[in-house]
Amino acid sequence: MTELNPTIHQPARLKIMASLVALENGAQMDFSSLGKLLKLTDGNLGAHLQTLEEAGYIKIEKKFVERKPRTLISLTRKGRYEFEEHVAALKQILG
Amino acid sequence: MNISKQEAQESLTEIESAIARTRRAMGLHGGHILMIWGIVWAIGFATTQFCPRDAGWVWLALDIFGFGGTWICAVKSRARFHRPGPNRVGLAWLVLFGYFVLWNFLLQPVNEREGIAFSVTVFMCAYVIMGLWLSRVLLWLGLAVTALTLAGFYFLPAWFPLWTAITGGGALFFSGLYIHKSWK
Repeated sequence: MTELNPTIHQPARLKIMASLVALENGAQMDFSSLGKLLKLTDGNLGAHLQTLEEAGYIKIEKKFVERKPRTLISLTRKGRYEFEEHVAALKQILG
Repeated sequence: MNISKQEAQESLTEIESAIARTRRAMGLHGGHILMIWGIVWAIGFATTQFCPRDAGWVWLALDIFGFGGTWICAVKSRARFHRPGPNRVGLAWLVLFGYFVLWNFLLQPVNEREGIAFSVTVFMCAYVIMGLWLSRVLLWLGLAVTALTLAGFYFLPAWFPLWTAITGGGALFFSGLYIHKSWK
């Protein structure tokens, strides 16, 4: 039986993970776009991203895109796997 | 960690809506591109109808505007969503455009009306195919404009360029506006 993941289950982090899962493998989303999409403040988003990064679920990369500094976020392989496990556990509860 | 069935259902609903929101945000620039080409078609085909002598250079200027605008939208989208490897949708459009030029050369539509119908239906075919993969808006847009183009081709031959400006240009512009408003 698969277990719910408490790190992912927190509402804001659940939305962050779901948004990143929607991207194709290896694709990255800009920090400010993610914040706007989820209606989270920079501070709040930053804190949740740090938790997810420490768990090894996401990768945060700072680089220049079109000559502008960007913070780009992507899901790691482990993150995608853990998220899928979490969704499976949720579906199991529904029966 | 234990949660109720209702909480599990709410979480799954939240996941689905977050995924859908992201996909729509990724496609938002597509709406802007539709609006740009809607303007190009509306002005271009109206010029073909009313000022056929100026149509050549007007179309050239409009195409530069269209391709330039499309490029800017693509660059903006790439800054928000950085994808690995080449932009396959962009490449697919480039391939289609290449084949469109080749077919035009090989088939050589004999008059202006056939040329317009050929151009519009080739690109609407691409919208229908894209719609099957990406969004129903594009699918219905492609089918509706194809049907309207055929209706104008057979029943309004003298006003066909204007008909295409209104139906084709209008459909592209307003479906782009719909995507811009509802996918934000």
